[in-house]
Amino acid sequence: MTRQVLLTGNAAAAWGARLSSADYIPAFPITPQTEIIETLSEWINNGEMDSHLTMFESEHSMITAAGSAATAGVRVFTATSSQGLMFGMEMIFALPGWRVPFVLVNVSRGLASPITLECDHNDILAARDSGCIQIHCSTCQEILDSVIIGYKISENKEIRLPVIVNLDGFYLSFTREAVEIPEHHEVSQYLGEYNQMNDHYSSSAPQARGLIVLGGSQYSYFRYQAHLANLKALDVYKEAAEEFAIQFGRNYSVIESYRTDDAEYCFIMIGSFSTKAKSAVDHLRSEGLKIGLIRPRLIRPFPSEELNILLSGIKGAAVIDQNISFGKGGILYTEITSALYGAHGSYPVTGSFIGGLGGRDITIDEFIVIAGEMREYTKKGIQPRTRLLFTGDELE
Amino acid sequence: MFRIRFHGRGGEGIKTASRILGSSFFFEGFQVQDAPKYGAERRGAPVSAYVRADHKQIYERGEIHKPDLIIIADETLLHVTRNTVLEGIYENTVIFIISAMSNSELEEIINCGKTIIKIAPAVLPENYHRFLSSITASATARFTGIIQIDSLIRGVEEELKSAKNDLILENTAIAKKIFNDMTSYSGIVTETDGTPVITEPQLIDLPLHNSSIATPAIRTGSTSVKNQTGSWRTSRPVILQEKCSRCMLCNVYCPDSAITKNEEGFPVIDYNHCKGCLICREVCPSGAITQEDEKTSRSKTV
Amino acid sequence: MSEGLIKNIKDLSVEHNLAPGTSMCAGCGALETVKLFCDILGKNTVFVNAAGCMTLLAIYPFTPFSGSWLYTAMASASAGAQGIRDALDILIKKGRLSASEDLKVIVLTGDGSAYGMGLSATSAAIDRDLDFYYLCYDNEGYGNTGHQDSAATPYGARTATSASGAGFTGRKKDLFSIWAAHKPAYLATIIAAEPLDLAHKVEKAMTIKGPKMFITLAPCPTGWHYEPHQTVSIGKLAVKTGIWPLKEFKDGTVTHTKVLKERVPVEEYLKLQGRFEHLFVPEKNPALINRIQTTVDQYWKDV
Ligand SMILES: Cc1ncc(C[n+]2csc(CCOP(=O)(O)OP(=O)(O)O)c2C)c(N)n1
Ligand code: SF4
Ligand code: SF4
Ligand code: SF4
Ligand SMILES: [Mg+2]
Repeated sequence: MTRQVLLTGNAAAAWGARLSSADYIPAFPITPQTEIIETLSEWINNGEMDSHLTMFESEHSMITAAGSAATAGVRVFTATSSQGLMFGMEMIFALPGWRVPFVLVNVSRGLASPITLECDHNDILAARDSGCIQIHCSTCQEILDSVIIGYKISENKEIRLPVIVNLDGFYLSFTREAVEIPEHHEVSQYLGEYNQMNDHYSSSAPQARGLIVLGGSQYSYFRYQAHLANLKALDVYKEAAEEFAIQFGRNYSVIESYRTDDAEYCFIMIGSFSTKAKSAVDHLRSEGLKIGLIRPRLIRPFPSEELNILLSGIKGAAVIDQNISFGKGGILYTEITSALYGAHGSYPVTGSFIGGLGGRDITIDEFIVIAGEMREYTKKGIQPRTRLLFTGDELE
Repeated sequence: MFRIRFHGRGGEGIKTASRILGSSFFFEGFQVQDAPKYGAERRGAPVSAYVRADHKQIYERGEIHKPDLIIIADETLLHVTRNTVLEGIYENTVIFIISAMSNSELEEIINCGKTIIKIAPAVLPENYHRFLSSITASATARFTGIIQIDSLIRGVEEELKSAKNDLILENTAIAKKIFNDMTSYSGIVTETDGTPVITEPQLIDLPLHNSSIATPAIRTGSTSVKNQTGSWRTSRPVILQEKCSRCMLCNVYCPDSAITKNEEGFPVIDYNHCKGCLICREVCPSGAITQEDEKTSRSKTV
Repeated sequence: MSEGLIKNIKDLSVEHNLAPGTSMCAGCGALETVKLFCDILGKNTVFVNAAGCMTLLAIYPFTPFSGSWLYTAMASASAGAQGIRDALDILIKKGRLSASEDLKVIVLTGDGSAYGMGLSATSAAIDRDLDFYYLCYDNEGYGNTGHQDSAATPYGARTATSASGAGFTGRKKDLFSIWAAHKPAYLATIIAAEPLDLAHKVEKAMTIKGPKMFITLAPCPTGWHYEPHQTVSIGKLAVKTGIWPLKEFKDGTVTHTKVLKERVPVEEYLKLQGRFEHLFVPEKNPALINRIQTTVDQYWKDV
């Protein structure tokens, strides 16, 4: 019998690891992630979870251990945030090349400097080109479910890549919402027995891993294979999500679309603030504007085709980026527009809005202003310039 | 453009040779590119270097696949990495080698009907290995027919400027001598025009492969035996059984696991892998290991 | 001193677990130690490597190890070892791996990593009482990148970043004491030139659970500028001059395993190596040589 309880996003992530029967949890604290490892450690100490947690002295070591343990054939879960992800970045980029499965939860927090504890997405998007698969969540339920689906994809025999499940610091990590906790045995059934494939060290079957190669041809081959596997993960994700929907009744398409069927306008964004976009959509719809929301759940692999289909009837799209690439602009905006370019005859007027940096709120009023601007520019048929969501009051 | 490729072994001064030549061209007013190429391997392992020189800016880059001149500073390479050394030979390619082999032997081994210029070690000072870079750079400079002796000497001095004065003098002396000795070959290497020959590459669509093979992993042990590091050797240790006490110290100290024990308890050197460090000779308490020049031993065993 | 199987040189294996065909330089002192280590520990091993010369021991698809190997990163080989040890323990506990398939986990790193970038990961592994071996081959510089000075470079040595004047002006960090302060289960200095001392120590370590730390001085013909055949002679001189004290730490006490009645002057060791040539040519520099001698004398006075 499934239970509905109030859980923070962090607790939901911990539940995801628990239900997935993670064997091994290398850990290191960082706000706003710490609650995840504290929760897991409590369960392990109570005997509620049959797992082993090792505290490391840094995220670089923690992520090294995660990958190393995965090459030895155990199911690994780990979590970090912001500076921690950056500190472990050498390994985040190395491990996809090892072709090992594990799930890492990143709790998004703005990067220094200035120092902040609050959320934006520059940390996780810095890992964009690492080869790790990225699933972005907008609710606590989705976090729990994505960890489970994450293992399913990561351990797929064709994929064998780390999966990062991303959730927003504070807005999800410390926020309680009603979450349905699936039965452990059902999750075990969904995931199946852990298949360590060729990941093992033993006296009878030695192996050497993580090797250097000589020459660009070998290097190109292995790098491109990781790329192909990452692309392939899109199909594997769809199957895994479908199976999940059948078994658990919750549906997670690669891109969530909200009221887009007849939409002429849309917001495009990732993360927890997208639920705020939904209330703006409802409000604007009540005023007669045909607007919807498009929220990619996967950023790597990037669902270009699905995006194009969803945008085919849209006249104006506002991409809201909770990140900034200095000297260029919003990262999601670049991803979206490059996916659209040349894909079909007419693509929407696409505006770029930077908002929510370092946890700054994006208010419903601001969504309404964005929609208004998009309407104007779309009518004129010109691309609006990049806007920072920032008011005069904030300069005071 | 001149496209010149050097082959030798790590530690023999191939990179220095390419830089001396590069500088010499440069002092003659040429645009120059010079660079070494080495893999992960070290001292004694095969290495190469290249020099491009042209009157206008050079847009080509990286390895030279169609050389006008190939320099083989170490003839043992012909036995080990022949295909690499002789890659891309075309009608104008000239080969220059330092070799004790007779001309006919060389032609047989190289076997491509190209002009082969040889210097026999016998006509060089006994310690010529110390000056390989100046010797090869100097001969090459002469072959171009364009580099003047002053530019060459400036190149040598520039490249060795942090070395001791004596060493610089020895190098410039031998560079001058070789430059003179090679007078008859002046201009034998000619420039070819800059346009590369295009052979259309057959691009493929790489399919997704099984994840177990699509990562650089080795699923078994001890595969390195396939690397025949014996080719690194310039000197080889030889065991004199009559003197050997079978103490096996040589086996203990050999870093490369290149000494085994035979049925009678004598040590046997695995010449396919022995790198010729001669630690075994040094540690042998009975003086039962001698050192032989690799080239001589090779021709003896052939 | 040994309760182990190796009583004299004849007891050392003549067949080797480390295959030939690696890309290490001819005469590599580090490789000599790794070979001995592999012979004594046996085949049931997994080496976890940090960045350094030994990264190139295995180059796809060639490995010299008869056991397993994982390359991690310069800073975190000890963490990789922790991950593998934890995983093996979990697998055995959960019945997914038979205990007879278990492996010894060995970290292999250079001094640059051990004394510097990898120190915090290693310190933490000792704190956690990780059951592993740690072998630092100390060639006294960042060898793989062309021998720049590391925290293990001795005073007066010339390196690629101390290429002139008096050479390196810093001093070699006392990693042994730093580790001893962590109270690992076992800690020893070794050198391949003294294979019996090395074998006794590794055999002893094999009977102990917990962190088993080794630092081997690794004469390096390429970085120290000497002829490859001198690797063993130089290693022996490092011990005879007292420059490389052979010692161990166990149960809170440090014991010197080789105490010499008379020590050879350090000059004998220094003069064989190009990195110290400036102490002798164009003319001898007694002040510098004495300074090195005094440091060594002081060390042994305190022993
Ligand atoms: C994070 C990082 N920085 C720099 C390097 C480049 N690097 C590779 S090996 C090496 C030197 C390592 O020195 P040491 O540990 O003494 O080993 P050795 O090379 O002497 O064998 C360096 C600096 C690296 N691999 N990783
Ligand atoms: S010379 Fe001797 S010690 Fe050196 S690799 Fe060859 S056999 Fe081994
Ligand atoms: S060290 Fe010398 S005496 Fe001893 S086994 Fe080797 S060759 Fe024979
Ligand atoms: S540089 Fe030194 S330590 Fe590195 S492989 Fe060569 S001899 Fe060994
Ligand atoms: Mg070093």
